Amino acid sequence: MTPINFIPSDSDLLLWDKQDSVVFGTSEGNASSGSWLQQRYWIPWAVAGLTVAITWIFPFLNNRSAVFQISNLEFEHSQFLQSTARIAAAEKEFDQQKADIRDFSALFTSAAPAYPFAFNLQRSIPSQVNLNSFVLDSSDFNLCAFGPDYESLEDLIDLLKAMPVVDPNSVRFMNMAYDPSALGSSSSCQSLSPLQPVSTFLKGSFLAKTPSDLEDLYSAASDYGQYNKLRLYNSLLKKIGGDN
Amino acid sequence: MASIMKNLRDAIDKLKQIDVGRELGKLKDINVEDLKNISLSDLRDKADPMLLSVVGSVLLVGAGLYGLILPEWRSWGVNSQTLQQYRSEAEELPLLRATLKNLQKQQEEIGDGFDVVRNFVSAESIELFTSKFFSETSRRSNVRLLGVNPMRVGEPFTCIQPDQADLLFDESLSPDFPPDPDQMDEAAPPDELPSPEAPLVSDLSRVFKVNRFQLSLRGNYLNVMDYLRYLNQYQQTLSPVCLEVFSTPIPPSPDAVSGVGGNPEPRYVGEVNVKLIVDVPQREASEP
Repeated sequence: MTPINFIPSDSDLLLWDKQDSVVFGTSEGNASSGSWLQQRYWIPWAVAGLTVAITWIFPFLNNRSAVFQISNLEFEHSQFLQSTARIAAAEKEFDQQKADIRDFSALFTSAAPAYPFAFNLQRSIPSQVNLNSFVLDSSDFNLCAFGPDYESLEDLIDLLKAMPVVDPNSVRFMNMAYDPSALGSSSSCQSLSPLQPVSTFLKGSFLAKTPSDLEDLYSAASDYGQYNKLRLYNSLLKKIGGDN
Repeated sequence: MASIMKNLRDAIDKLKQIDVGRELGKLKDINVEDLKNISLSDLRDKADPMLLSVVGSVLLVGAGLYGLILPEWRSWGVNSQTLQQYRSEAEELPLLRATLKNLQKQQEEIGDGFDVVRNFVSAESIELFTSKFFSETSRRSNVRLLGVNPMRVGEPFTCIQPDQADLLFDESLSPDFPPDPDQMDEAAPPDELPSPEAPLVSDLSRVFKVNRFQLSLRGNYLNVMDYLRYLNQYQQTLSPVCLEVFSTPIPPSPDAVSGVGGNPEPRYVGEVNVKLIVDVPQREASEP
């Protein structure tokens, strides 16, 4: 397409010419001479290409190798996950089992030591002393006894303190008298026998007991029914690392 | 502050000195046609080819770094970490298998033992055969079982009264027991009764369903001891909560009192009255 020049030919105005322009007019002087290859313009490109290729190929190859090895270890990985999940489940179940076993200690420790106390008390009564009554629960006991004199009842206190199930520091007498009513006591622990005129009312507490302590206690009292239960339970406790 | 104001004033002065007309006049030298006809080949011809090559290669490196190299290194880093983890897992696997086996063996062994201990507490309803425990034991130990009555859970009862010096058999707790004719002949029961009744909460009830029974017994003290011992010989645990033992003084015979012969004083040797409260634990479905 021929450009339309609206400027008349006889005009003095100069037409724009690319070669004469300020911007492009001098470009001819800078034109390249000779082939592009000869002038080694490719060198930066080659260096850049090589740099990119080398810095890429190293991680690329290692990455492929890692991926290959990972795919080979997938089975072990799934086994590992399975094993850890099973161990976690087994440990949780085991912990629950241990807690259940420890809970069973209440079966033994919450019981009042009725038989061991009665057994040991029978062996601790001085010959001149008569036991009128006793009451016990899982933690405390009290008893009423009659004797010919104070000394025989003091012997009873000493023997009570020496009993294996009794806390010796807790044993104390609430009264000890020929006539408790003379002391202002309303206690019914009063002897009717002229041969055993002195009465005493004693109180005490039992020692805190672990299943292991109870095993010894029932064994010493020849209560083999309870002893065998405790022995089985304590061996189980020992296997799970004690009652802590 | 003053120096800042001075600088500001100087800057404003400099702005005032700018000749806007002269600066705009410079634009007249630019030929609009030059700008219209610029093409890329013109720029190439105009620019230094070596410079273009260097700039291009730098751009290439940049693009390669961003598009290829960095993602590949990043991916390699992630994969090498994964590989390291998988390798260590593979090394640990035999140990884990041994641990699991050991744990299962231990659990099985303890489970067997626990099954025995677990049977100390029945899972079945025990009301039906509980009385058998008590009656059989009384026959075996030659102790008279005067009565058994079940107690409601949480029902208050007296055992040891902390502030009382009395050791009285609380008859109010066994209203259903038939009156014992032998007892009527013996010493009169004490007229003082422990007044406050406190509920006794057992640790057992925290773990098990607890069935509580109150027993009234009479017999020789040594036989009563046997009774307590024989109760422990059942596989089912029978846990004593409270034991009250009272001797029953035998009053002197009329002959002895009148001085015809014998000892005129009451004798304390002989039978004892016993109140025994026993917890019989029972496993429920949710319990161990």
